[in-house]
Amino acid sequence: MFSDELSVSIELVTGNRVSLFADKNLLKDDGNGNSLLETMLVSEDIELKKQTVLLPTETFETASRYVEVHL
Amino acid sequence: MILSNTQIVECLKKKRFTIEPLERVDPTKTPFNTSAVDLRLGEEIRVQDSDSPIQIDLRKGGIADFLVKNSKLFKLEDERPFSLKPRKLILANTFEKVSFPINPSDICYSARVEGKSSLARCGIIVHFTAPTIHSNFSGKITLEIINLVKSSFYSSPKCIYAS
Repeated sequence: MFSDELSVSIELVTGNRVSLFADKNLLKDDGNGNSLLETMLVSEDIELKKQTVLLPTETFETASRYVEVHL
Repeated sequence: MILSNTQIVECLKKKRFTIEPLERVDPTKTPFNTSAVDLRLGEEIRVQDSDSPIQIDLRKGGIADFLVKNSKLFKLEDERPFSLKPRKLILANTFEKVSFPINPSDICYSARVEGKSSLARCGIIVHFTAPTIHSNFSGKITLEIINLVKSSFYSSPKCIYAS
């Protein structure tokens, strides 16, 4: 949106994709051309291989900061 | 609970949350008010393309990319303010960057951002939805700005737009 932000797209466990803008300082390059967004882990389910994380801002599509993602 | 100016300064000094840059950290001087900190307009604004007939569908995903592709970024300069036309919406960000970290072993803070009433009286509405800056947010605050009156309004960087 602005020069100190990046557009982020996240795939949820449902297969749907959500998006948000995040401050560049919250994103790190994993060395493989992917950017990793810093989030806060809320809970995880090892058996179902999913985590609930708290995003820095809510997504446009779900209007929530809590999302379920694959482990 | 609303923090007073002295409590805000105390929290800033203890790094419970940050607001940067601040000209000074004196609760009796600007940018501090009795229970708020004034925030300035940043140096960029984003304007939706008015020529392209776009339709937004939140169900389709990729809204963030979509908004970027269908808008233009303008750099504000002191000598070249942006003229906000009547009934136009722009997005801007604050000059200050704020951070409200979550510390599991300590009190967490969030904040409210509100447009300045002085601007509202001129017909310029700043940040008219979602005023809460939640814990765990870090970055510049995006402001929605709309001109409700029939005259144009000049936006210059570092003018006080919110608190």
